[in-house]
Amino acid sequence: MTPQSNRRTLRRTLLEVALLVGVIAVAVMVGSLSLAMSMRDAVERDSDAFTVEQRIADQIVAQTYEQQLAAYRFLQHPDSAYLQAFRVAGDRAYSEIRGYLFHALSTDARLQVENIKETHQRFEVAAERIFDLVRQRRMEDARRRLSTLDREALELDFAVRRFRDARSRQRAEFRHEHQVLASRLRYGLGLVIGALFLLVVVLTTLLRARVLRPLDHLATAARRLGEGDTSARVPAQPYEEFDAVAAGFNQMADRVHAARAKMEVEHEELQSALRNLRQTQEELVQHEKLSAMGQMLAGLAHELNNPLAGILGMSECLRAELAESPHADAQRLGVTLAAPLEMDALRARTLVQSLLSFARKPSGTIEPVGLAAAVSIAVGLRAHAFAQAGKTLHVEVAPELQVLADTQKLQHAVVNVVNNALDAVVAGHGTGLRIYAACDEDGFVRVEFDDDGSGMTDPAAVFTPFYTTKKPGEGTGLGLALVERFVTEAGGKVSAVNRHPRGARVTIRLRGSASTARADAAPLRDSALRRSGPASRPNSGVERILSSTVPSVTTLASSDAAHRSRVLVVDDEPAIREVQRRLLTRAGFVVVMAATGAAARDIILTEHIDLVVSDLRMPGEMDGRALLAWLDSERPELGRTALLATGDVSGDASLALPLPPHRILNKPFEGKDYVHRVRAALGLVEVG
Amino acid sequence: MMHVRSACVVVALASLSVLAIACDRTSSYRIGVVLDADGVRGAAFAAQAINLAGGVHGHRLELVTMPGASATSASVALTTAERVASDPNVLAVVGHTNSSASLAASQVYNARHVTQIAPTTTTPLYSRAGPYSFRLVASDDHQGLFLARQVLSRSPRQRTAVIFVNDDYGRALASVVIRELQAAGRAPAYSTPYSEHLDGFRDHAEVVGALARARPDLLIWIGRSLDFSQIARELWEALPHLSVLASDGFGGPALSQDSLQTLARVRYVRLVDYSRPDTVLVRLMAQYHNAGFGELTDQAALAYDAVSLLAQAMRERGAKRDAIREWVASVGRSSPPFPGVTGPIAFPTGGDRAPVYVLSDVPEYTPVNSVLVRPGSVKR
Repeated sequence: MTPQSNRRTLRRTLLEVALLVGVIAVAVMVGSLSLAMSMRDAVERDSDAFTVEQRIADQIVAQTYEQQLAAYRFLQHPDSAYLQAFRVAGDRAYSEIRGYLFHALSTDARLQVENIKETHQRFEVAAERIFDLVRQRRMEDARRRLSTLDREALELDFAVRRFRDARSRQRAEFRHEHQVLASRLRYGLGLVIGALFLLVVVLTTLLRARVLRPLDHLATAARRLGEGDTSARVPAQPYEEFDAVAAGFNQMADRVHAARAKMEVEHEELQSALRNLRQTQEELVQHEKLSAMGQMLAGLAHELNNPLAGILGMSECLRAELAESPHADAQRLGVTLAAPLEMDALRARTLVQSLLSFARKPSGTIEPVGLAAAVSIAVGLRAHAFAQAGKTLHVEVAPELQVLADTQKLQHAVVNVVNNALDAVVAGHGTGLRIYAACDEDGFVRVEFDDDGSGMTDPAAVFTPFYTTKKPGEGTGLGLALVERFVTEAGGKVSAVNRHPRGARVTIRLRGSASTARADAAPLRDSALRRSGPASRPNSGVERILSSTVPSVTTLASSDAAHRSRVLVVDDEPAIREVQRRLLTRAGFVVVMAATGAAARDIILTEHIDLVVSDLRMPGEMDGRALLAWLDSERPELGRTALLATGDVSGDASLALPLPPHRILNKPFEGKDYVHRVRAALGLVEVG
Repeated sequence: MMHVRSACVVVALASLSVLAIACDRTSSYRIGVVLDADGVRGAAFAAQAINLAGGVHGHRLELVTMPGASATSASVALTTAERVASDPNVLAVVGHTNSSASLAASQVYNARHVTQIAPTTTTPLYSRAGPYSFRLVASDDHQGLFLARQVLSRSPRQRTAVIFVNDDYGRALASVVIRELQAAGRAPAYSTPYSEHLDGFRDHAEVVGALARARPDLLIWIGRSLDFSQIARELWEALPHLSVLASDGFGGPALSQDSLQTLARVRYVRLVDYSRPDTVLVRLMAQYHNAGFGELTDQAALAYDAVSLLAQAMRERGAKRDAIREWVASVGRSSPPFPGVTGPIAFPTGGDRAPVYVLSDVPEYTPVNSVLVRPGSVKR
């Protein structure tokens, strides 16, 4: 037998109690019936006893009559047989009277019996005295005595009759008492049974209301709690015991509820942490990708800058020399071939600079950033793509607008928004993207990206990490999420809405810097960015960047000072050395060239040199940095003016150099700028 | 003078008893005594001896007598028994005086679970009275045989007459005697009953006349000496050679000094054998006499034994009615016979004692004072 089978339910116990009460009721009923039957038996016994008593009385009377008859006969005929008959009848009568002795009689009845006995004794003695007179032949005296005998006989008869009447009355009273008792017993039995059943009903009702119902409440609450409903509670109970159980249960439920809430919070935090971790991981991966891309771009730019410097310098020299040619054909070639070549070289240089700028690591510092420059760099990266897709890219950003942001992150954000817009415009067969910036009343700078593309399926969800409607492999879903994160970090806001009738608008609001002037009144319109087709030259912005205050190479003129100055050009790239030689030679300088640092050192030790222009990275034991250090040590007058040229325009290398920016020449350089720097280093012109 | 002294002793004992009851009513064990003066004296002497010896486990023994206790009427006995048995403090009863009274009262005592010890009740019917009824004498079945044998031991030519009191006692004993004589072919020449009245034996002239005509040589008298004394003189005149053999009922207070002469030729049955060499009985008789109680009668001696027996029952089983009855019934069965002054007491069957009969001549009997007990008085 298992412990489970030993459990007893309260309902079963109640049923057993009800059965027990029922058994008691039946027992009471049986007992009452038994009592009633015993009473009936008592009545019957009394009836039998009464019958016996009546018979005894009859016998006494009969025997007395017989004795009286025998006495009379003896008086008439004094025969001893009559005397014997008298005494036999007397003995019978006496025996009958004594038969009463062992009957259950009351004291009064016994007194009557004793009276009967004594009367009978007197009757007998009276008869015997008559017999004595007869024996003495005194017949007259005997006859006179007959009246005494008759009186005693009559008195005996009366005594017996009184006894019978008294017993009849007693029996009637006894039967009446029993009948009353039986009636009361019946009514009492009915009342008892009714009361018992009423008690059962009341007890059952009370137990159901006071015991089973609280238990049901408890069981229901326990079941709900078990099913996860931690709000399940047991109401207050009228009985202290159940109330204590309910209170205990409610306390337990409170603790479960609190533990569950805490667990849910922790779970949510864990989920959030997990999401952040995944996002961070994705960002890290993205960052690593971008970092690797940046490193690759930096290396690529460095590798491109040297040949690009050669191409740019050569084309510039070629254009200048052809322009100075007296031959019209040569001048025409200079205009039709060399000038476009120089322009493409410049555009390539600008592109490389943009790539380097984009690939530069974020500083993590929120600082005033020129919004127009950042937008230009980003737009410059994607302008060609817009042009190739036949879409327009319209920028209206005032140059004086400044926002508080991390420069690199701002550029990345702009690029991400522009990329999404391009995809939407292409997918939705739109015309293009318009970028508009303005300063709001609250000091925030609002940048709006309006396209007429396919619009957004769910604008509210576009900033959710990994949300994307693009085909698999075409998007990570992180672009706009990174935008939202960057803007939030910068203290701004970003939103997205669909435009009517088509397209979407992404609005970035960033805190403006203190120097930001209100630009919405007169935004600087870069009409040069307006293009109507892919055939148009896409980067007129480059032209604006190219606009400079330095004089053109073509306008460079030699001077005496320049003719007296000897400039040592140190570069391991022969083409670049040649470009520098031509530029400096045309400017009137005496150019001495060296391919390595060591060769340059030897030249400096042996020849008069006014200025050293050295490449930074060079093979051999002495690169530009070592050469500069040697100059500072051995020839301080040259060390203070030496220029360093570098193709690493990412800034990292230049930042590490112990030189002011005007003494660093970024490859590829323009001829006029290069000559100007050299002249400035030699003190021929002012630094500017 | 003897009567006055005896009465003073009884009154003094009764006063002491009442005083004792008033002082320490709850600590006494009560026994009802429903006997005539002889019996009350014997019972009182026994109670006195027991109390002087320390009582029953420290409880005094208290005797309670009721109004009319000495009456021989069955009707009076019934009423008296009701009153005695209704007192829950009465543990047992010694009584009643004669067979009719004892028989009538026995049903009350049995119904109330009161042990009744009848000292001198001899009627055979008392053997059937009930489990609470005992007696210290044998049934008259034995006395009837005893008397018949006394007759049969005489010459067969002698004629016999039987006169008996027409009550439970006389009727039963006479029937046994007559039956035995008839069985022996010597049926009585005359037999007749008489009634016992307060005013004596009425119509005794008819009886004497009839008896004279029957000319018996021996009269068996089954009745009281008081009744006999009323016809004795006429009887002796009519039948001067008549011998009288009386039953045990003949003894008792009726044997007054004045009647001794008329009863001188009567020989009667006694229930206590005073001739046996029993130092206890002899010493008791002396103490009884010296204490002023007079001569020890059969009824007094048997009452003395009855009280002593009940006291022993209380010692053995405590003061409970049923417990007392159980112990008394066990005497002579599971318990040894009780050493009474009248001899060993045992109840082997039916609550009857083994028969002891002694014939005694009246002149040898020393008459005692007869003191009537007034209603409500208590003797000790």
